[in-house]
Amino acid sequence: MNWRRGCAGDFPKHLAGGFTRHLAVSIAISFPELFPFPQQCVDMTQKAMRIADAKFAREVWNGQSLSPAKKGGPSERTDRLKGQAMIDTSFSRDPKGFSRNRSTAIEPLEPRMLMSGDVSVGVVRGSLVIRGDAAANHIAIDQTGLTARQFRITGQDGTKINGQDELIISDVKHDVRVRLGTAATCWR
Amino acid sequence: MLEMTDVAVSRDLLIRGGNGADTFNMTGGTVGRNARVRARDGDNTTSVDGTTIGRRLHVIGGAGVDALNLSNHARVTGRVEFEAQGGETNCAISDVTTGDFSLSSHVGSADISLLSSTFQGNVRIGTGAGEDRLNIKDSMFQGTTFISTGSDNDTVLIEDRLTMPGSGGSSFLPRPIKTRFIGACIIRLGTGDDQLGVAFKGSAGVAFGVAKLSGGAGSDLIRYSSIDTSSYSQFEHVNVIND
Repeated sequence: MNWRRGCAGDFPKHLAGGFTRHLAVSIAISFPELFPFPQQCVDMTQKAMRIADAKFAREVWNGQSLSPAKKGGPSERTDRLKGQAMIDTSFSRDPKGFSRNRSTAIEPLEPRMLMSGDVSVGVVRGSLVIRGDAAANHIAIDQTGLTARQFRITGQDGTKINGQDELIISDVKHDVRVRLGTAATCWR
Repeated sequence: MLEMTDVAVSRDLLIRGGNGADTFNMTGGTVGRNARVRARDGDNTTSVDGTTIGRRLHVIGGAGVDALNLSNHARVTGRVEFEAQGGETNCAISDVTTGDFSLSSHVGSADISLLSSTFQGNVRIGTGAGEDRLNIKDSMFQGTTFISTGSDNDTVLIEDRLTMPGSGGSSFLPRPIKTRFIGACIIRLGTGDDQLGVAFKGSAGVAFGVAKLSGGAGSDLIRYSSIDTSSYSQFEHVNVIND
């Protein structure tokens, strides 16, 4: 079976190469023990991925994406690209859905968009998710003057929160999940 | 470093540290259900100051120094579990109310203090290898208490200041009982030259329900005075000083 052709057949032709590259690099980075690439090789592939992500983002902004999850208005993926949600929640349960394959391929690449000393914060399924990077993060959380579902996350000692000094997150209904110092992994 | 001040979490609080030195401070606020801290390797400190936790507080350390501090009317309705891994372990519990409490550490010394606290469930402390020190004062143990200090030379002090025999205050003066073990209290000092001091000279009194104190192998010493053993007490494999 031509695996590459089988996957690419589900996608627009101009996106097929980008998707397979996403998938291959995602697998390689998720399981480095299986793919002991030299660091230079990894850096090159990550650079290629950023270019592919930028291309995909432009298509979403321009309304050119053919993903079913984006028909009828902006999707949560679009929000992620705007920087409002750091983890894609547009997972489709439809086994034939285009967005399902697309989500699992792109998900592990998000931390590489962040700078060192920058903490990513978002709301995933009603839970506040805070993910640090490899730098020594210093974060303060409080709710002073806010509602029960709002949290203020403040960076200390130069730590940034989604690129800002401070961020107020709303619609937190469930858990608070914090993971520090593991930039290469994602909350599941 | 993560600081949470007067934060109300509806359900669970889940914190996972990296392999460096991580510090988690919770001051005030509430957690509706469970709070779980997985600190991983490095020197890690978890502090809970005045926070109310609806169910369970579970702290898992890693290699390196692990510290858990509970204080200032912190309340855990369910149980507190502290699993320190290899390396030094520090646990300070002061002015806290909790259900069950369990602490386990492995290789490395452990310094544990339980002060002015109420343990409404069972308490289980296992410190493994290393020279461990456990200090208990002014606390209430309503369930079964099991303390095992493992190998090496360990010291357990219950309302005791570790003064030398013959020094300190008079044992004839009436002293108020401050620490009570309502359920059974079993203390095993394990191998090594261990010491157990219970309300010895000049300290407050201790009340036991059922007490079984075992020194284990090695040259061990148990010294006590002003003990109220309402039902039964047993001493094994130790030199006992009763003054």
